[in-house]
Amino acid sequence: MIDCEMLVDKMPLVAPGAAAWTPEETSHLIACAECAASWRLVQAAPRLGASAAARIDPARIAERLREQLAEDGRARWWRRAGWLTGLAAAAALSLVVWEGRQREPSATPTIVSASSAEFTVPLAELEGLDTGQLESVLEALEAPLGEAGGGPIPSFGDLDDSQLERVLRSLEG
Amino acid sequence: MSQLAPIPPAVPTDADLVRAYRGGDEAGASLLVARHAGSLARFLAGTGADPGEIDDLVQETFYRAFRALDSWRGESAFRSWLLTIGSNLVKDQYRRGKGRTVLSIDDHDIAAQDDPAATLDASEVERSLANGLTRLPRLQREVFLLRAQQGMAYEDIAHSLKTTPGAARVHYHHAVKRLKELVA
Repeated sequence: MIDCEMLVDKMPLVAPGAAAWTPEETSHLIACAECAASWRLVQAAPRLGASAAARIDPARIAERLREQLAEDGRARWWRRAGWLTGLAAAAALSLVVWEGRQREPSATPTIVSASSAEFTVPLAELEGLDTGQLESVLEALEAPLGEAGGGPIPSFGDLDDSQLERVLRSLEG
Repeated sequence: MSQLAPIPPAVPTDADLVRAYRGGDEAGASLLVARHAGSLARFLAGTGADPGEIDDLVQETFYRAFRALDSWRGESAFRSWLLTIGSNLVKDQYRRGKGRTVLSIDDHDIAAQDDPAATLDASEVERSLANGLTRLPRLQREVFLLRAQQGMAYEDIAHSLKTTPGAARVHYHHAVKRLKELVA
């Protein structure tokens, strides 16, 4: 006795030649209209999309795939380089901030210039000066910075927000 | 003294080719494409992709698969994994409104046969089958195609579609039953 369900299960194996019908199963396929109809459908299924498959060119697809993956690799490299650059910039900035903080706790407030605190003036000493003396100190603040020969000194406009804040904090004590 | 027959070179498995590709051998990718592109195209056509877009879909499926190659650990067959990616691609495309469930069958889809009457019968069955598939629920359609078109085992189908082999078998039988009603 042939089980129709078992026969339908076997059909996808027989259609491509991976299995064969037994004589008994063949007789059943002739006699059973339901199984015969199932068999026609299953036989037709592998032929669906045959023209679509014939039109594609695997060699061209493989070549394009290689290009796409290479582009991806390049994009990944640039993304990684971007991250590393960002990290390096963040580390440099942290160092600048950390150096600035190291100098902040000193007893006398200091003016920190953009040239990384090379030029500092103890403000407490300025309190005893009269107007004329203060003006000469101010002149001295401007002149030596430019004349010291230590390279171009950035103006406040060249400072970024954090550096400006540090300068302001040091001025405010 | 008997001579030993030369041992034929072993055909690399899909897993071998994936390993080779991961190791930097690009030929592994080319061989995988050559091995599976045709089946993928037939499957995509069967799932309802626009015939004019099959080429692009095959390309995109391979691209997505190779980008996600680390997620394939060999538990399922490479082909079933690839077909699942292709199926999801068609589904995404359909959701975005770019795709159409076409499943029309052109004359070139009909396999040439010597007997004109048989050719006519075959073409009629294929046309009816293609139309019938459009009316099946997605899961039934995919199980039918994976089983009847791709010849996959229920275990592989179950793994691909995240179901059980028993459920896959039930879907297959329901699909066959429903298609017989639609084709009749």
